[in-house]
Amino acid sequence: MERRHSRPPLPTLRPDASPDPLRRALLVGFGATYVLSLVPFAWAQAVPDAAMAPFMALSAVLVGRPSLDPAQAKRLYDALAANDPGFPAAAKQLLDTVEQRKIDPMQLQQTLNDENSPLKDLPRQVVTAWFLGIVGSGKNARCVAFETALNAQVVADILKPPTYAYGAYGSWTRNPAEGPDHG
Amino acid sequence: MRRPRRRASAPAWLALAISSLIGAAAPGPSYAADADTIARGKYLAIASDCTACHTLPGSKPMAGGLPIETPIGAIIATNITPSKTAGIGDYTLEQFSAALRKGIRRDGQMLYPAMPYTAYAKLSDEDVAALYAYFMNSVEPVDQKPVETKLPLPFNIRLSMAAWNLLFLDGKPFTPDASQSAEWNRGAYLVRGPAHCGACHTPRNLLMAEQASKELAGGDVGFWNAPNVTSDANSGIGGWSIDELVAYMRDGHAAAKAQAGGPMAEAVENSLRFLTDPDLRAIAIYLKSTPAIHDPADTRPAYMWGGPFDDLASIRGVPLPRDRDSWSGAQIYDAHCATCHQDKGQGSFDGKLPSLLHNTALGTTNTNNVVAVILQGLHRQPDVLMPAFADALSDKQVATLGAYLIENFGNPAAKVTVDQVKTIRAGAVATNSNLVLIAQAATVAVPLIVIALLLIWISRRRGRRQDASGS
Repeated sequence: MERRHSRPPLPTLRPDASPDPLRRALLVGFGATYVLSLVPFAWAQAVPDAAMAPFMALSAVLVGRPSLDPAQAKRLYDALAANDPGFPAAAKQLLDTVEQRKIDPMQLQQTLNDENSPLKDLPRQVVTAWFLGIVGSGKNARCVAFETALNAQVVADILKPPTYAYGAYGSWTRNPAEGPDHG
Repeated sequence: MRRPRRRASAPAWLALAISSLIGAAAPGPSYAADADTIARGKYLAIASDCTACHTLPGSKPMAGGLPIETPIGAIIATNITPSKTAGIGDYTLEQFSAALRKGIRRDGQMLYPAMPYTAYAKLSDEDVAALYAYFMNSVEPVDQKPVETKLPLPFNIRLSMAAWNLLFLDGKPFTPDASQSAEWNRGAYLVRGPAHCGACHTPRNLLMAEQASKELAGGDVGFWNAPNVTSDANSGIGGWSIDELVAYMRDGHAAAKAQAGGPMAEAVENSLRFLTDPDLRAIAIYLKSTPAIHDPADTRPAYMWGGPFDDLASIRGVPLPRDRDSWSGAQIYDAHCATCHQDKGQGSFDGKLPSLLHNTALGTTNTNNVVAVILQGLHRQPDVLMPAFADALSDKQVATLGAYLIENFGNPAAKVTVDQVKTIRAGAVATNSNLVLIAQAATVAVPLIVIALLLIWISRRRGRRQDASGS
């Protein structure tokens, strides 16, 4: 409570200040190297369907995880392909673009937007499918995964997906990070 | 209770009428007792769970009125408050003891063994006196009589219980076993006496008496199944630690083992959770020493079945069928169970929303308890409240869900059927018409057979005499 009143002044924002170019280049380089290093792993994953391989590799790059559940990948892929028959080809094309041009995944969306690429909606679709489990939009939106969507999985050691109870009555009032109440 | 009333003289009636008008609670017969004795009596009344039958939920304590369903019809629990008109206010200590330990009322009529006097027969004289002191001094008199029990012939002849008592009432108080520890003896006394565990956990014979040879091997209470609690590792509680047994009796829950439901939830709620830790420990020690009674069908302990499982891949992104009876087990589980028991049946982090894996409720081949809990929910003080799903789920849905639970979290050899769900939903125990018929036939046939035998015997004697005189 005390801290709210004596909050230190925010540092002055200088949006016009140019960042250190060397620092930025290094960061982008490291990031891109790390993420692209995932691609061979992604390719090497067991894939239930050969046609899915580009989707798996693209997914690994976009969600930043070398290992993804193949069964879930199949369900997401099928849903994405059902939603848009051009999806499999588009996924392969986007993967090729990333690999050939060595685009940092963190810059990918910006690059696609700047070039007004026809693939510019694809990363969001793939990431939404993996993280929220949702494929399609509006009336065609379907929840293909919920408990196993990555947004739930990455915090599953501490947090429960919405609608799942934490424990005994009132257990939701505790800070989850403090661990369960065994009292 | 009718006889004393009929005998009451006019002035007595007047006095009663006046006292009831004034609303003055007539004190019981003066039975002086010190506070310690009364407190001990209260503890024993709790250990004996008198409330379970003699208090109608939500009504005055010990005023009776609860129908106890039995295969021969409902037996209505009586008013055991110290009311002189409607209760046991006129009972002397001796009469109280006779009712408790011999099943004989003050008017000489016999009690039905729905009253566990075969167990209370084990009570010591001091404990009976303490109970009497408690009832006479601390229970509020209620001048209201519950309706009378009406059973079919021949069970409405209370004298028929005399024969039953002759067969099944071992009227001796508990005698300690000198070769065992004091703790064990205390446990044996509590289990076999006041706590009357066998009333539910010992199977009954054709005549509804506990089978001594199968003590604590599991019985039926209405449609509820009271499991085997002998020391057998697979069929009973042999694999439970003392601490787990104590936790179960105190909290109604033992982690990765079981939680109390139905009548056992009531026993925990009204009785066991108020027992002292040493008493619960003594009970556990005794139970773990009982002769193991094994059922070959139990290939492993009931709490050793199941693993984490989900079938989310089959239900996410798939619309629910319009016809609810076509919902899959995974869909019903997801809609009604998963919020608390979690997606893989693993229960909550804190263990307070129980795991369905390693849960005796799903590990036994008798699935009545699972069905009953789904339909009725599970309410247990102080803080257990599983909702009832009787209104939310059809018989078919409960059967589908039951199959899903058993298949994935329990013993797959068990089965749940739609008819079973229908029967349990209907609630009341079906009267065992066979038992009633047999008894009625026996009532008619036994005297006839006796007369026939007598006639044969007489005619033979006559024949012999004639032979003798002829030779």
